[in-house]
Amino acid sequence: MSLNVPSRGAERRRENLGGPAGVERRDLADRRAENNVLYVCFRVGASTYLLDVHEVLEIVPAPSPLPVPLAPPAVAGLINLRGRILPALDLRSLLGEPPGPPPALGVVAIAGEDVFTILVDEVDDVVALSPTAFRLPPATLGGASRVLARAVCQHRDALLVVLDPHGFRRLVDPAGSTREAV
Amino acid sequence: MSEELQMCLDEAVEHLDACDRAAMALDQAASAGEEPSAVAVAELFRGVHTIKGNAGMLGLETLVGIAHALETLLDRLRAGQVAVGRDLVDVVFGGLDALRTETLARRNGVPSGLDHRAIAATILAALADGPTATERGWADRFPGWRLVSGAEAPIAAALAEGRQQLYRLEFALPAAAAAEPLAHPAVEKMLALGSAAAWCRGEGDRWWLAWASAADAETVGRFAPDELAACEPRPDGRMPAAPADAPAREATAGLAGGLPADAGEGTIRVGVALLDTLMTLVGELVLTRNQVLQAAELVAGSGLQPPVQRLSQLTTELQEAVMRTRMQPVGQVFEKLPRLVRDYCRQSGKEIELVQEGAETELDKGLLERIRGPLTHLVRNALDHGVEPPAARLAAGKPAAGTIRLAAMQEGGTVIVEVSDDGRGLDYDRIRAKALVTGIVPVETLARMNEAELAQLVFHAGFSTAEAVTDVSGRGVGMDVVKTDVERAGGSVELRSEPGRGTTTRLKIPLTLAVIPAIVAWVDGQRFAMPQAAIHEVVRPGEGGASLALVRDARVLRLRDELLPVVDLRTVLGMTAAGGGDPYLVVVHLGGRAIALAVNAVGDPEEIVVKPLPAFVNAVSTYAGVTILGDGTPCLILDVTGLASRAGLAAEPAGEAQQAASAGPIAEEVAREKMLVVAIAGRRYAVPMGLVTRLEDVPGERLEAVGNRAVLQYGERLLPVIDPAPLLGGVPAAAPHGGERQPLVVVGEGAAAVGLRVDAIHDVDADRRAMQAAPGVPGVLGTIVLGGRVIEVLDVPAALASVLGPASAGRVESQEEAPCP
Repeated sequence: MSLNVPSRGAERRRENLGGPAGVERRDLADRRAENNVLYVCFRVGASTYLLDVHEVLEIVPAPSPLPVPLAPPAVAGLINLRGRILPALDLRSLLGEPPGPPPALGVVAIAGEDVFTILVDEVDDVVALSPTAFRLPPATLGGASRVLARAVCQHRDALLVVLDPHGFRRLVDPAGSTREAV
Repeated sequence: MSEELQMCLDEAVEHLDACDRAAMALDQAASAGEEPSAVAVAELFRGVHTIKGNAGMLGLETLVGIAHALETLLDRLRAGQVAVGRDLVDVVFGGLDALRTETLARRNGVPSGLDHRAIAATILAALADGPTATERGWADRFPGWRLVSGAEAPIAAALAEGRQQLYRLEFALPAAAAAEPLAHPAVEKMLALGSAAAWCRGEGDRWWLAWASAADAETVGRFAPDELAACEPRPDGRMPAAPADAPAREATAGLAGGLPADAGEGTIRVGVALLDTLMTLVGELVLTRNQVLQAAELVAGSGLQPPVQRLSQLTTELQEAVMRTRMQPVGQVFEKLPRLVRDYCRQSGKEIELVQEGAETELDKGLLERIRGPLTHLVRNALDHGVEPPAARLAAGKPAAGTIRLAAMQEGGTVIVEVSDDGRGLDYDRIRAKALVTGIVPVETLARMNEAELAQLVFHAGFSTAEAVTDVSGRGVGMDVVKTDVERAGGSVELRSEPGRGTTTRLKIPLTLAVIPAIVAWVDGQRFAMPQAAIHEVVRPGEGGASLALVRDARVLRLRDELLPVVDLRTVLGMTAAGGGDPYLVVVHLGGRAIALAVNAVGDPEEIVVKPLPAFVNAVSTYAGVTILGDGTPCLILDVTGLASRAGLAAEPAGEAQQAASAGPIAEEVAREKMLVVAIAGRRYAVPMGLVTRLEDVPGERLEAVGNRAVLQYGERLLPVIDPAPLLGGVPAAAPHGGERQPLVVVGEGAAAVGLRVDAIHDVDADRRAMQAAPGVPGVLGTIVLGGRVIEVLDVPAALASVLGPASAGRVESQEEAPCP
């Protein structure tokens, strides 16, 4: 599961750091006109993922989550987003990858009633993709990736994984609760 | 579910709540042999009528059917065509309950299975059997008054619906004019205001006139001639009393039966989620305000100070106002209790009056929900175990009817809620006996305990002195759940009891959970907040009579005369040890026992805003919530009860107890005891966890023989070790070899502790069903089903007695249980 996308220009990245507002400013009208779907594109380790912009609330810089002892391992901790306490999820741990450097950014995602932050290394861009580009995740995709992947799609030369934010609850909290054995 | 249906059902529940209150007023009138309050009947009628109307629009046939029958009954009641007896009130309650069942079932989207035709038939049958279906005139019902104008029947309905009010005036009338009271000029003037009917009553030259009018009190007052001594409306539509039985000016405030004034006026519905959002925003605002205050001080003389001060004050006011939006009268949780008491009395034959005081005291909504369970449990206990049957009361020289008093009052930053009864009180001798049998307190300590200390024992998990299992309070278990629940809400429980005179349980609840005083402690460089309510004291070993000791490999805190288990937070929380000592010990109290939590450092007390744990971590029972500290970083709030149960110190799984307590029939749910499953002589046996103080696994060579007995050096003492196998018909276990490990189950505390040799310790499980007694099997108390297997329960006291002789048997001989709440 290494789906690389060529790194984008530094100035574009900076433009996007401010979150969706930064996105809105740019050529959004053009992109919408093509009847495409907008995705936030981010990198964790060597992999690149997409999230539907409608499922992203904002992007927070330099999150340093407060660790929660006894919480599920994929929960890196809690962050304070203007008075709202959000869990921060570690995608590496979820996918069984070795730990990486401290996360540079947090992508705040919403899935139903759950609002949480996905810790990422880099947010690349907002990309507009035509629905025809999507494929079902390949059968070779296994385990956690399968639960989290909604679709894959070809973008330029790379294959990107579209994440399903609803998959996180099933993965982090399989039984619907993590009541620990006393 | 459509929004309309949801709204209709939500509204129906509210109407049913109001109807229940009105029906209680009806019941009181019926039991006192009085006429029912017209307002109460009207309230009932209105509620049922509205439910019927709303349900009809949405085609909810069952609701309509039941409501229609009930409405018919109430209509006859309103017109005075049936007399209100307690049997009739039972029918009304039955109908309301059916409506409620159907409404709740609809709301949950499951069929209630109610047959509305059958229910309607039952309701209407009561009407036909009514003791008096004959119409009774007002003159019969109000002796002394005579109707002088108008007709009765339409007026009765108009009064009941509140379309007209009764007014009373007093005037002097010469005896000669008595034949024509209406000819009095003042009376004429008043009747001109649109009277529909008038009654009068006279004594000598003093006359009173009561008349029904649609005019409001102000208008009547303005037109009242000077010669009238009194002119006042009767909002309950009852015939006013003549001055002979009441003061001239009766209080007009307060509706009959304690019905609250219309609460719908001037209020709007707001979702709790929105209020929570407001709370969060205000909390943020407070933090920001604090930062602005600090920044403003750095730029003194800039003219920034006055507006910043103003901002600060406004923020504080806003915070208080937002908190007030969450405050609800305690009466909300009292609401269902009169009904509980009434139904219990009808069923048990006891006579009990429920008195409420301070129902208007306000408490945070979240907290109210948390004390609902404990409060219901306490009232059930008082009903079932507290108040004696009438005969026993009379024999004890008390009135046949018992009293249960519910009182709420605010005291500083806390709300006190008391449940007291004038029943038989606690039987301290039986508590002492039970404590001996269960061994929860060492014998020597028990002998020194006074009554107040003995009373606290009922909060011990699984401790119950009830002798009979009843519908109402199950197996009497549950005071420990009450305590756990209240402590989780940041409160405390006290119990006072005087044998023969009654019992009072006092709950002390903080006004709000949103902001609580807490202490922030450091564990391995991470900060954790602990609610101050849970903290008894903070000590440093080596100072003020506190010292650390090692009992085997477990650390204990020697504090004054007590030995407290030390819980290493770092280990319990599974944090990696970063070295460094834990110079501070936070002593917390948990259901009557104290434990010490080892921490690195302790900060000053501060007020923290409690926020719920977010998704993905909210199932971790170790935390009560999360807060944001002054520097903007989040901080976890420790749940001391959850922590202790994780450390294996609490006897009850608090999480389960909490759930069970909020789920209605409390006692039945939590009346399962945890069992330790062990292997003895090749078979599995269960040992009640309540008896077990420690589990040990020692090298075989540490068991030493002293005489014909095995002992283990246990700290500074020798722990006698017995082998229960012979008692159970097994082969005595061989003396362990040097290299073998020997698992031990330690029962009893202090000097009374004894180790039981077992082959293996399997696990801990809860007994979901009651134990089946197995008389005649030596060493076995009975059988239970654990994990699908039938397992025998080891009779620990018998095992001890068989080996240690009568000296030990003496402390366990009493097996009977004693009654007490």
